[in-house]
Amino acid sequence: MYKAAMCILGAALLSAWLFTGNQGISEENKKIYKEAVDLQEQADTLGFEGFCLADYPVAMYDGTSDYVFYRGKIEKRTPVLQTFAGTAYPVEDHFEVIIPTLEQFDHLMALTGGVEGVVSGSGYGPLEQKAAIWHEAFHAYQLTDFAILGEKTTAEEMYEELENGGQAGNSENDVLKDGDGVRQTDMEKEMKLLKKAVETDPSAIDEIQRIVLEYSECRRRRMEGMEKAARDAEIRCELTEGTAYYVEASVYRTAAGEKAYKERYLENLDTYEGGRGKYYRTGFAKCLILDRLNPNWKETFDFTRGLDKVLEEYGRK
Amino acid sequence: MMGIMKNALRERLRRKDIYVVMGIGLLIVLLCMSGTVTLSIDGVPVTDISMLLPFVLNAVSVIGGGIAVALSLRTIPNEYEKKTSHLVWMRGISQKNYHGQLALANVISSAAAVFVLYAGVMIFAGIKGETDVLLRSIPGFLIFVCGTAGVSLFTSAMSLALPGMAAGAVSVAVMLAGTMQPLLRTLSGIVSGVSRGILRGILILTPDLYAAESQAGEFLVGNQVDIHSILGGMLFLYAGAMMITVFQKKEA
Amino acid sequence: MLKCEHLRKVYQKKNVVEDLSFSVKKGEVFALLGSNGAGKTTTIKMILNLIPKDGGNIRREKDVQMGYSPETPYFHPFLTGQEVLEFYGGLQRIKKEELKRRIPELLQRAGLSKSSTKVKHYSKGMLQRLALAQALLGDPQFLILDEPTAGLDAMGRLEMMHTIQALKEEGKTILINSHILNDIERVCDRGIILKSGRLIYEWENGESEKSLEEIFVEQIGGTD
Repeated sequence: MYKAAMCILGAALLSAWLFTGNQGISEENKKIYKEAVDLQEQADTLGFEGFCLADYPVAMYDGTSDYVFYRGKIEKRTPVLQTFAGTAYPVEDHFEVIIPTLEQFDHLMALTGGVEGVVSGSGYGPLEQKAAIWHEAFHAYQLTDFAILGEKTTAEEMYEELENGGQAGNSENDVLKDGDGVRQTDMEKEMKLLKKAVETDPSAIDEIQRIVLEYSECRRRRMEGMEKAARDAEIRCELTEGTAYYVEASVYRTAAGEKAYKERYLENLDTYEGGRGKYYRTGFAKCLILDRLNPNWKETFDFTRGLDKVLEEYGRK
Repeated sequence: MMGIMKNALRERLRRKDIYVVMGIGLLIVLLCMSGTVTLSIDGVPVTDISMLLPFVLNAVSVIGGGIAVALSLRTIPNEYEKKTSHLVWMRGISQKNYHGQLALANVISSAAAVFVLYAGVMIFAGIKGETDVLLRSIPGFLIFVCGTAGVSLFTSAMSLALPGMAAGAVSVAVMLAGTMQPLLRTLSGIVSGVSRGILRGILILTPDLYAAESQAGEFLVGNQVDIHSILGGMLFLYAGAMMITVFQKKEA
Repeated sequence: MLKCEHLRKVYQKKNVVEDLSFSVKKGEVFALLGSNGAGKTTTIKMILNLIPKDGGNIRREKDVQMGYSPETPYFHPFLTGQEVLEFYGGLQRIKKEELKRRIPELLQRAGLSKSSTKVKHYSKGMLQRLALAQALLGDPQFLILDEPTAGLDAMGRLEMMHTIQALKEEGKTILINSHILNDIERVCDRGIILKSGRLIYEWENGESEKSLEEIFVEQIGGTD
């Protein structure tokens, strides 16, 4: 009798635990996804044609499983990418957003020193998570709909390559690591010029154009001394990450407010750092300047040219 | 009926060391909550009870887990070493009953020790006028103590199955891995190769005590609790109880 | 009362009890004799079911209640003598009223009437007497006393022997394990001598003109 009761209790506990495990994603993560999707209206104002977050499955990885949010459903699955990274990743025939759950991102940030200037556990909170989802979704959009700088790899091709033991990411990471040959003083000067252009009164188009020309000249001179691989990597990174950062910042602005947006995205626009981070800011700054020079610049923008080319085009007009 | 358990509890009550350990633990909890020790994140002091609770409860769970291991590790082996078990077995008390009562005494004393630490949270909530938190603290304790009770039962079971040092090491390792699951999970996503395999193995083999105990914090501040995590804690408790009945001694 | 047939116990591939057969009759005091390591305590543990046997049979009279006084008695040191008896009485499911009546009697019989002294302050002799007192809880018909006089001074030994004699007169069946032969000869009716786990001699009090000590030396050869 006792044994039977204990067996029943154990079976009941185990099945209840397994059953509830399928609902293992926290309410907070569900809320974050829903609120991120609700920011679509803001993303639409940016003018990237056909870019819609809900078109891409968003997989949140909690360290054990992926929880895939797509078309109103949440499905638990074996993790596609067993590592904590915010990325757009090929899954069979499409690209998905893969991102750690808020809890995991928070712990990850806590381990790596937190997010500067933000107070919430490690500094990483729901607002940052929503912005990150949009950032990665924009990469999924780039990869799905465009031939970046004329190069197009489909999700199937990338997926197959990864399945056959290929490495995720691209060679730009190797080229753009610290000590990438970029002279800090030159780069800082360029970043200051870009920031200045962003901060200039939007109605003073001539002044903005003047700064852009000065910037373009500085950049041209700097690039002459660089190897082709580093140059290409910089152009590519600025194009893909700069635009994604631009989208991220825009939704963050709506969700967090003007003050937080300025503190997080605008004040450090000229902050130099080794590696890829600086190109997020230069690309972002170029998008903001293009908005001032010609709000319709995205109508013809298809990721086949670097942002510098687009900027030069509108800067001369 | 429960004479062995009562006697083991009486032994705890008459020993002085447990009061010292609980006193030190309570002092740490009260210091954390009183503001004498300032908790800060990114240089910003944390004083709000909803922000303090997760930190303090996590600290209580680790201290409590340590106390549970310390209280539970030697109880059963001592009975065998001193041959007290002879006089119990020969009175027709089954091993299951004997071990079960001693393990239950371990659980009760561990829970009582954790309650003393937890009382620090209740006192702080009372002082701060957080009546909602205060009212939720008793049912919240039942959620919270699940993990500690599980650690106690697991340690008792290990003390039956393994020699002293090994039992202690395994119990402490499980307790620490359980209370540090989020950190281990995060690390497992950062590292690669053999390290990741090891961390994943640890994560699979150890219960997520952090998740179970952190639900008490969620409950105390009025947030929604994750039933799955609480069930995980209860499952660990159940597994510990089963191990107590399965592991047997060959000789008294 | 008790019949052991071909008992065997192996420890680390060594036979510590081998093909041991003996029986204890109702109302007699029976001695298990032998040097240290002869297998006496192992035999007692097998009879009490504290360790599993590796062979043979142990038959006890049906429903017979047993009392046991261990060789090195250890009780929870934080308890008083009275609390020890209450604890073990409780385990035996003796009713509270019965315990209330019986415990002072047993303590007095053991010379431990000072009930407020904790066991940790007891001398070896007091512990031995408390061990006997707990063995007598529930008024068992069959007592197993493992080295009941070990560690006692001369006076203590004498008192213990008187107690055992008195128990015998009350009709108890007693199995004693001891290597203090004078004590055994004084109270025991029969016994066996073990050597290396084997029965080497069956002794009956008064059967031989030789003293037990002489027989023992003869059988064991001074050393085991």
